[in-house]
Amino acid sequence: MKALVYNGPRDVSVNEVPDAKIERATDVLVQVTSTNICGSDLHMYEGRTGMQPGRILGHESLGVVIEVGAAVDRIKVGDRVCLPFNIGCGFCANCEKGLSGYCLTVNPGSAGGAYGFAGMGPYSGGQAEFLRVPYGDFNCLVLPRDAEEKESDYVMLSDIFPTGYHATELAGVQPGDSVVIYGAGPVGLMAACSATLKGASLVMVVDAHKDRLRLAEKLGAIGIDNTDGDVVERVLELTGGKGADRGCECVGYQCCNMHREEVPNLTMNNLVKTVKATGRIGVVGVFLPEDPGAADKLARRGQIAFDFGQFWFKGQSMGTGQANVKAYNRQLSRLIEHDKVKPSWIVSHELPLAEAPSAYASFDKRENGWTKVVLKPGQ
Amino acid sequence: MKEPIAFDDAADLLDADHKAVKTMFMEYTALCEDGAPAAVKRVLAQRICLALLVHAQIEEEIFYPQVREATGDEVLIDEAMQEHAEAKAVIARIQAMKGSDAKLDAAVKQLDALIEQHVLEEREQIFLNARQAALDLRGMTRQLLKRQQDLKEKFGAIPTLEAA
Repeated sequence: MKALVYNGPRDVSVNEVPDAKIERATDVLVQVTSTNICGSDLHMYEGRTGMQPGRILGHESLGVVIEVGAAVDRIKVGDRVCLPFNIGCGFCANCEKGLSGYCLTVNPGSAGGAYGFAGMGPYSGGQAEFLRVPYGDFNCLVLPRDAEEKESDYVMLSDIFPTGYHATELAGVQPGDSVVIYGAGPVGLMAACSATLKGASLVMVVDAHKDRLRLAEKLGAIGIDNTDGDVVERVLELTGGKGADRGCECVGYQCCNMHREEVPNLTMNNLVKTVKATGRIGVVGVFLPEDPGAADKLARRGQIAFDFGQFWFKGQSMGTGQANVKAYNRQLSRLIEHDKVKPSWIVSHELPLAEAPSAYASFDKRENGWTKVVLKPGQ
Repeated sequence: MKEPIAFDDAADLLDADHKAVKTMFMEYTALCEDGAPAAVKRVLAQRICLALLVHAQIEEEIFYPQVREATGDEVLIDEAMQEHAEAKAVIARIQAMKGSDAKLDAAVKQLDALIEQHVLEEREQIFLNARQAALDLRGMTRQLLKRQQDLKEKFGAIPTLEAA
């Protein structure tokens, strides 16, 4: 089969590799029809993780089931399914609690498994013609009957829509709240969409890219361009000097200042400054225990200089970590089915798999207009 | 052994060692960056070596033979044993080292890289296969823990800075 293979920093190619296949009786084999490039793929693309050369990337996939293992009961050949980026077993202590992003069995030694991701188990990625799905009965979300025509909407259920929603859950967004979101990438935009769905009265989105801020504004959010002036001042102005009720971090450890220099504590400290006293912060942007490629000494050790004094003094609280996609994807799929949301509005490019290497390069450079790429391996 | 065993199974226990050693390697890197005295670094290097020796020995005596039998995967376990041998050679060099700082730093860095790769393969292949095999990994925990304690006593106290 054809698949997008990581060769090394900023070097990926579409290669002929052995076909994915059923390896265990609980597996499901999916023919991938849509698979996205994620911002977190770029951490690996840039060589900023322990990703091993030769592995297939991709963890945001949707496709048609073409084979099921002998121990699979629920999933049938022909089902159109969306795969959460997290791989869970369904029976460990964390999966039982709905925390499938922290499954204890699929990736021994570490918290959680995922497709084609550094440090998240031996599972191949979905930027390929076929994908092996472990514990298929548990992991597959069988999509509503309109799945084929809304495929670019439903594929967002694999990661960014639930992840954006998770940011608002971690931040505790409730009707009437004001929310400040750092990052207008796909996750930040999905967080803005989720906050709006939950009835937030004011949604502010901070980024340096005008094309992305325009997308946020289409949702009714207020775009704040951090290259135009002081972000903190602007948020405080919009919130009567108090700060937002809730804040979301949708950028992560490679966050940059207006000069595109990495300042890993920038968004976290701005959140402390721009969320009100007693407000809550949800952090879904990726932060890692170590970052050997970082310029800064603290960052290399996975640390940031965090304004903890201010955070404590303001009585703020915080929730962190990756989304447990299965906790949300079924509910969110109904919103798509009933035309309440259309997450494909952020898609800028739908491309055949063969064009993935150049798409990675453009997306990595944040070229104007490249917000979200959906790859179509069948085309 | 009256205390209940907190580890879920053998893989859980062995991986706790991996995490502890990883933390020590990160501390070592930080010490280098901070220009810490050689004596401080040497103590930490010795701690890393001792932890790895105990870990390797209980794996080789108890865990690997049983996994080899249950999974029938000779290649995988042979590879792991080979990696242990390579790591032990570096450990022996570190333990014998009296001389220069730079040599010690380089050897610890080399060991870190070896262990990093070994742990990745062990987690993704051996632990996963062992858990999916017909093997009493829960029962094995007690054996591993007992041997681990014996070896810690045999190898003597973990060095502290005062003793250096």
